[in-house]
Amino acid sequence: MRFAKYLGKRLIISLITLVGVVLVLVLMTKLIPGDPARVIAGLNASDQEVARIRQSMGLDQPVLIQFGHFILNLLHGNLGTSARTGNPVVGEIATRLPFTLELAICGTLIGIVFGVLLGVLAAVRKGTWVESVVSALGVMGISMPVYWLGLLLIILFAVQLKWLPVAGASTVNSIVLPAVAVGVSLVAVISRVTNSSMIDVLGQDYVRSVRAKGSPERVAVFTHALRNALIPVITVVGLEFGTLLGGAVLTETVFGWPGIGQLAVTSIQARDYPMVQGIVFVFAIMFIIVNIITDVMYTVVDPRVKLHG
Amino acid sequence: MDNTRADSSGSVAHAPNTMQMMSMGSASRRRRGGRWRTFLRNRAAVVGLVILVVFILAAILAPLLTPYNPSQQDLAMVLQPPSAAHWLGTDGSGRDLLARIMFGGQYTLIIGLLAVTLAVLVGVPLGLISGYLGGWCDMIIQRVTDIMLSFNTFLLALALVAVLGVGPTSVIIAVGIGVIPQFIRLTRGVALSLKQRVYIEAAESFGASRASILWRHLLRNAVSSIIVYATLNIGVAILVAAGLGFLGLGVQPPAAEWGTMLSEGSQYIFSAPYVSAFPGLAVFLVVLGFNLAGDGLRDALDPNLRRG
Repeated sequence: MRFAKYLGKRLIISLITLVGVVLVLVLMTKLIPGDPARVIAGLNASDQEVARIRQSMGLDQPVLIQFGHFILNLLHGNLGTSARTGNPVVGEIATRLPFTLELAICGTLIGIVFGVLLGVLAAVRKGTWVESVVSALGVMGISMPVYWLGLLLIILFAVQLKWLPVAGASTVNSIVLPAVAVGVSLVAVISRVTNSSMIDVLGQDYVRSVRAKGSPERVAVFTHALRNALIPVITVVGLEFGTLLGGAVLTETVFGWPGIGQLAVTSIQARDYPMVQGIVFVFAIMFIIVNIITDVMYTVVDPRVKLHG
Repeated sequence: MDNTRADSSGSVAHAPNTMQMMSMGSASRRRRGGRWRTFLRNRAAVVGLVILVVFILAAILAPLLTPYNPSQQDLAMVLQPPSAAHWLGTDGSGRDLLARIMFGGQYTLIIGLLAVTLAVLVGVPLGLISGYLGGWCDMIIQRVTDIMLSFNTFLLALALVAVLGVGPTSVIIAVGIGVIPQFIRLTRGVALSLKQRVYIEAAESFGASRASILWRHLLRNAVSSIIVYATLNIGVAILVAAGLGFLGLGVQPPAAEWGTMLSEGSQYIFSAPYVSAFPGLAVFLVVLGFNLAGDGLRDALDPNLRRG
């Protein structure tokens, strides 16, 4: 019951944030220097044609009316029509979204698996060269431009070694290099957090008791300490998901991965505002959903966590 | 990330009396010396500082250090590999890569610095006001911050560039706005933790104005955290700005901006991979420099402020 109440409150706050995102998106079209209708119509279009496009997009309406239309259309599953292709925005996003989700999920998994492993390794080998190496890799990972890492991976594994495809999404192997590129910064952040969190937990009385009663070290580390040390890691996965999506936009461009990140860049270059609005909205929804999931996961991993709206 | 844990160094926990005032000058100098020594004892931080000094000097002294013009095309010298004449080789238009990286440093460093300055000037007052005043003011500022945080810095900057158009000024504004929420969260946390302190209550009971408390007490105590955060965020700003350049949405060619150079070089990835590898290495090293120096500053100035 308490959980349902918490989840309800969390959903309402998320809904308010989403409404705010829509308001910002609508306000953005007002702030655009120049006339979006003119850009869409093309330089040679007549004034009547520009006026017709302006009217059909609702750009001649006050902000609040545009905001109302956007919300109303949204409730009908409609995010408008692409100015570039003339196709419904929802359809184009729906075709490409699975690719971005696949990339984000694989990147997150790489980040969690390798980040936690490195973090635990550094914590149990505290004060040795292992901790120094993991720490150095951590700071290098967060400093690494994802687009540069992507190019280096292509040069090494696709051009020199010819192990994996250079670009595209035609084979099963195609996901490997983009997912590694997207996941590396997450590995870096998660290894840092797991390291400090594990050091904290390994020093606690209950872990000392486990060791004192003669349990093997791996039982103390993996069965008793890791579960508690994972709580901050869950927060980081939620918070870093936005960074991961940002990285996905760049990675998709580097690897020609046909997701919504690549679509976003093409749309911005073509000044396709309805498409840009739709994609930004979808990114915001993804970020909010992931953060609700991570909030809920706290209670699964640690039942002591008190739920506050 | 965990800004709620952000706290002041706690060095000014009580209002000073007259005796304390007399020894304050020398104590503060000693403290500064101690912090500097703590910073210099951190080898990683010193490495970061050296990287930054090298890149800053190379950017400032570029016209004196290199005989090449970064925009001068030489079609007889297209895609030359690294050699004694061209230490890092030449690009697809025969331009010297080292010269372009040195001159490009001016764009990168100025964009990073100005974007973070913009974020500090807007984010710090908003965060302090939000934390100190509370109530509806806090609620509105926090909801707007939530909305901004539902995009990450790069996505927010990307969306803003779609509105502002391409070019250095747009990039500075877009990246600056993208970083603002970080400073709002940070300084709000500092204000929240400090406003319960006895000396703030004492100042209030003596009739100090809100503006004076915000400026004289809260801001001064937040300075260490702001410096640390600003240093780390210059790295973030540089990464984002170069990312926009890479997508063709930042500083436009033929300007020697590192992200733009990386993008131009990526078309020669099979024949001359160094054309894109070196500008990327420059971005990586400078961001690494800011991260290492920022971590060192954090340990020296504000050990309570921890990054994930």
